Amino acid sequence: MNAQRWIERWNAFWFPPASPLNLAGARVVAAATQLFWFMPSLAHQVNLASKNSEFIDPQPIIRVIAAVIPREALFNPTGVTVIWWGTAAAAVLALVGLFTRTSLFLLALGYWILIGHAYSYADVHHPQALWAIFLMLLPFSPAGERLSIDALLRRRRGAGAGGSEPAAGRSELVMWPLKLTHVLLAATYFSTGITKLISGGLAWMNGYTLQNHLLSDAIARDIPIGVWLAQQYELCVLLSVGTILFEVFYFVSLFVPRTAPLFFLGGILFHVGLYVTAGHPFFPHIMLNAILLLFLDPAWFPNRIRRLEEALGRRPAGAEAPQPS
Amino acid sequence: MTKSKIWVSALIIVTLGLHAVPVLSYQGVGQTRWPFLAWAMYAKSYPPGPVKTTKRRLVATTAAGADAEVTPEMVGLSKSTFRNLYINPLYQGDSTTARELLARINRAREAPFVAIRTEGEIFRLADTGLVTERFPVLSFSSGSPAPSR
Repeated sequence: MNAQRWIERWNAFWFPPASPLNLAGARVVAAATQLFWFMPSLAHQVNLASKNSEFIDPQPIIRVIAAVIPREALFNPTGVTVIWWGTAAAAVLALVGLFTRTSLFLLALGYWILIGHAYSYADVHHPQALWAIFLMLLPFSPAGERLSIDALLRRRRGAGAGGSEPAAGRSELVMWPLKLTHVLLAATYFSTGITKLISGGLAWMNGYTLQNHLLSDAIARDIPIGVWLAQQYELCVLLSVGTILFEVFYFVSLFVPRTAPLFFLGGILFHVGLYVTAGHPFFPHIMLNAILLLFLDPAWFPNRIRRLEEALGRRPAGAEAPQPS
Repeated sequence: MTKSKIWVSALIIVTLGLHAVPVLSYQGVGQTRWPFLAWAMYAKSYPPGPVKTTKRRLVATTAAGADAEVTPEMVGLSKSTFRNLYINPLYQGDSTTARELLARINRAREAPFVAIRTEGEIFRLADTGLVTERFPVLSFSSGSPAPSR
């Protein structure tokens, strides 16, 4: 296969023409989730900053900042409080789509700093990692092209200058953040699943393994349903097999798009189950799977918006129907 | 390929490439490359046999006899770091670490703690249900060089 053919395949995967509505919808959901649900605890940040005099294992973004600004000058109770409120303000602007790219970047940067700060005291967990990367991808994409104050102002300026309202065109640069998030989810699930098999072989599915992991987490976090489940050997065997199958084969959703919604739904249920029985707070993975479920299909969300506009009488039926990609 | 697509393609390749770093140079539990992490979680498998776990904690006492659980928040650490730095050593009878912990939690306290002890349980699954046993208690006082049972 020659280079041109590879480039065509690369472009076909990452840059399919699609409505900007999908990416805009993903931005709105992500910013709202960040603002109302995923903001790191300010009390925890202040507690860490005030009760530690140095980092134990500083994370990359903290190392970069600390190389320029001394730790005590920024990572003190006042400093982390300012960063926290700045991040929250950026989330509000990103949600309504005002100075969208800048606000998305500040939101992602603030989140990286806060989580990086919390994980610089020798304790790193996985739940926020992919969410943080997804947030950092958005400023590099046209996520404010629709459903934003920026878009409204652009249309008004266009109308004021005597031009007509620009049509909601399709763009090749609106799907890659969602596609990359899908690839990263598939890679990390595969990595998690295959590590279990490499480390323990088929013994990971012997039931005893899940019983031990479940009992340990459920006791530590006082989760009665987890303690109960840990005592159900046959159920633990079934759930172990289901876990390995889900994690190892999630990548199939990349190559067989028709199966993707099933894997996204499976991902949501998988993480809800993990939380209810073992207290694993992978809420960002729940939201990433939900965002992909809603917005990765190029036609589904724009069709819903079109029907809504038709129902509200703002658009004649059948007008500007999205084209298949 | 437009200039925008070339820049985005570079970003995609860099993002994917950075995920290879923690896999190729694995750091174990103490990863320092967040948010680019190795995703080896809960990989350990257990052979058929007893299913058990433990719950361990530290309790501090003031001179007036008031007890309080020493929490990770009290010392400004996360749970796992607190466990590694303090719970594990105290369960092994490390009185030096116990004194250091007492000094740390007594900063800015009006009624300082004068003693600290381990408490905990072992939970075991049995045919009859969940069986609980208590760990032996180890006590450390601020003035004593060795723990007492």
